Amino acid sequence: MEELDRASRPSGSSVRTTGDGRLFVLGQEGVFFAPERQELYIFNAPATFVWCSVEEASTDAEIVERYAEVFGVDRIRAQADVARLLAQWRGAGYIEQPGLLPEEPVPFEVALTRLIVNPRLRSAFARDPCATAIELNVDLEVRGVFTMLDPTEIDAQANRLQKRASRRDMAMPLADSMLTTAVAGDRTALDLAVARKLQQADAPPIECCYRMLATHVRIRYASAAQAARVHPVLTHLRVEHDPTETSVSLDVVETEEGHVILDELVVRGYARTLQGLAPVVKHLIAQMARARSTYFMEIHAGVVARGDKCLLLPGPSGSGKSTLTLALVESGFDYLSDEVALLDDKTLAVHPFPLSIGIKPPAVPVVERFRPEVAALDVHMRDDGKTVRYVAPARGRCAADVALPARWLIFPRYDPNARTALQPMTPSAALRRLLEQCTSLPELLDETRVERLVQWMRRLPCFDLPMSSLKEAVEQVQHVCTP
Amino acid sequence: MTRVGVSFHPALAPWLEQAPPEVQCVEILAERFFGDARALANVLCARHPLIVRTELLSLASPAWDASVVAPIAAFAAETQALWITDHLGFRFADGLDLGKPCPTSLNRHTLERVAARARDVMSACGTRLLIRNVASPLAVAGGIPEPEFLSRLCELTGCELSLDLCALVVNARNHRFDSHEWLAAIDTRRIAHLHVGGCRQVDGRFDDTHDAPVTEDDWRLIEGVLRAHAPDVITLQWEARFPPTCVITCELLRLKALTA
Repeated sequence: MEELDRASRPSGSSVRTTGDGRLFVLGQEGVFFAPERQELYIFNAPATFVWCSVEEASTDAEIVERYAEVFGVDRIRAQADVARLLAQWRGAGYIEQPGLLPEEPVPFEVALTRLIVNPRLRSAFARDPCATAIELNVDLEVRGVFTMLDPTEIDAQANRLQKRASRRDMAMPLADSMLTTAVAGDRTALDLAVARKLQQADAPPIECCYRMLATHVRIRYASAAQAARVHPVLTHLRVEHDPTETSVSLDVVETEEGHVILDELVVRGYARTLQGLAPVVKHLIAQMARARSTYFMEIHAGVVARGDKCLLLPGPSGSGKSTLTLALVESGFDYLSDEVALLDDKTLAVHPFPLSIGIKPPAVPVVERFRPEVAALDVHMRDDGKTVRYVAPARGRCAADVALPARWLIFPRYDPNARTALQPMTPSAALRRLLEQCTSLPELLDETRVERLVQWMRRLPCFDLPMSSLKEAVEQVQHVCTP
Repeated sequence: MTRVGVSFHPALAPWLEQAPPEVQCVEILAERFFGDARALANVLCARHPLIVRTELLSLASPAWDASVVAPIAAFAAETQALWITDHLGFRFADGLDLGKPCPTSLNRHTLERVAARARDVMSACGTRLLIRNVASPLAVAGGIPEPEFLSRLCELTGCELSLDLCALVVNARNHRFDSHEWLAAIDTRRIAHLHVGGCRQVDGRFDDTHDAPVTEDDWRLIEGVLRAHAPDVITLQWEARFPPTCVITCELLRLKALTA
C-alpha cells in the first residue's frame, strides 16, 4: 500500500548526467559511449528514451509520465523501469543525481560492482563509506559489511580487473604458435633453429616475396618441400623482390623439432609438421601486414565487391562465410578478403586483404560443384587441429588495390533447416552482430570514431541471411547488391 | 591414484603435443575454447583427461542467468571433462561484467544462494562441480569464515573443492591470516583438486600471476595438504614468463613424488 502511495506521488527532482558519456541515436535505439572508460553500450529503445529525457533535463516524474505514455505501460511499471535504469547509470557514474524515485534495496554484490566500475563513487566511499551506503541504498543486512570495505583494497581490485581485462585476448591466438621457450629437453626452439640456420648458411634458400597491403615479406624456404607446401597458398600475392620495398625477411628453418620461422634471431612462428606450415606463414603475413597498417577496426568477415562498392559478410567460424564468399566471387563479384575486413580509420572503407580462402572439410563437396579442383588441393593442418584447403583467388578476380566503401552488410548464418532468405535488420541489431565479430581495435575509441561508426551504420542496408542453399543465397545477394 | 597435470596455455601447446608422460591431465578454461577453438579442445581431450574450468557461472551473483549453464554443460560433455570448476564469488552484477570473479560477503543468505545454483549446475551438467577459492586484493567480511563456508557448501550440495593454493597464499599474505590455520579449518576430504602455481608482488601486493616457480614455503603447504588427503588431480599453472619446459617437468615430478 505504501509502495502504491509512493508510486502515485513521484517527486519532481531533476536528473543530471555527469557528462562522462554520450548517446548516439541509431534508429529507435542508441549507442552510448564513455571515452574516459572506453565503454560502449548499445541501449535498447526504453533506455535510449530515458537517456534522451535525462539529457533534456526532465525531472524524474516527467520521465516516468512520458515513459508510461510512449511504451504503453502503467505508472508503477514505468516508475520501476525508470528507477532501475537511473540507479544503474548512477552506479556506473553516468548520472549525478538519481532523482528520488524509490529503488529496491541494493544487494552487496551490486553495490560492490558499482564501486569497482565507478572511480567517482570510490572517492566518495573513501571519504564517507556510510553516506555512500545510504546513497546507494545498500541492503540494510549487508550495509555494515559494505561500509567496512577497505577503499585501498577496492582500488586494487578495480585496477586488477582492469589490467586483466586489457590483457584478455579477444580471440584465442590459435594460429600463432607462441613457441618461445617451451620445447622438449633443455634447448629452446631458438637454440635449435639458430643452430640449424648456421648449418644451412651456405645452402642457397628458395626465396619468394609477397605483398599484403603495404607490407613486403621476403620468405626464404630451407627446402623445396616447404616451398611446395606454402607457396601455392600465397602465389597470388607474389611480387618481385625489391630490397627497397622489403619490410620483413623471414627464414623458414627445418629442425628435428619441426619448422621454425625466424625473423633475424626472433622466433615468429613454429609448425611441428610440414602440413602445419602454410597456416602459420599465412597467419604471420596477415599479422605483419596488419601491424604496419593504420585502420579503425578489424572485423572477422568475408568481403566482396560489386563495381566500386563492397559487401561485408561478417560471421563466426562455421557460419558459411568463406563458402559464400567464394561462391560470390565465382558469380562475378570481386574478391577483397576471406576473413579480415580492415575498416579505414577515416572513411571506414574496406581495405583489400586477399588471403587465400580457407575451405574446411564439410564445405568441400559444396565448393566442388563450382570449383572441382578443390578436393585435389593440399590439406593443411591448423594448430587448432582443424584441417583446411586454401583456394587462392585468381589475380584477375581480386579487387583493385584501394579501399572500397561498404555499401551492404549481410550476416550469413548456415542453418541446414532454415529457409534461405535475406531478412532486413535494424541498424542497432546489426551493430551488435558486427561488434561480436570485431577482432581488433588498434586505437582507443573517441567520440569522433564512434560517431563515424554510427553514421556508417545508419547508411548501410543490413540483412541477416540464414541459409541452407548456397545457390539461393548467391541469387538473393546478387539481387540486393546491385551497383 | 592422484593425476598430475597442467593448466593449458597456448605457449605450452607444442610441448603438450608431444604428450609428455609427466602430464596426466590438462585443465582448460572453457570460454577460451568456445567457437573456433573448440577443435583444439577436442584435440586436447583425445590426448589427456580434461578438467573444465569456467568463470561464467557467477554463482554468487544476486540475479542469476541460468542460460550460461547450457553451453558449459555441452562443452563439458563434448570434452568428457572430469568435472567443471568455478569460483566462490560473482562476476556479473547490475548488468555489468567485471571480467573476473570477485569475492563476496559469506553469510547464510549467500550460502543458500550459491548452494541452490550449484545444485542446478550439477543437475543440468550431470557432472561433478568443484568450487574454487578466489584470489583477490579485496577482503570482504562475512558471518561465515571461508573454509567453513566451503565445507558447508559441499555438505549441502555434494559439490567438491578445487583448492587454489596460490590464491590461498596470495590472500593470506595480503590480508595477513595464517594459511595453515585456514587449511586446518577446511574439510580436506572434500578437496578433489589441488591447483598450484607461482605468485609475486605487483604494486606492493601479492598477485596470483602464475609466472614464477612455486616457492619452498608453498611446497611445504602443498606437502601439508597432501599428507591430510590425496586429491584426484593436482594441476600446475604457468601463465607468463615461461621457463624451459624442463623446469615445468621438474615441478610436475616433484608433485607426483609427493603423492606417492
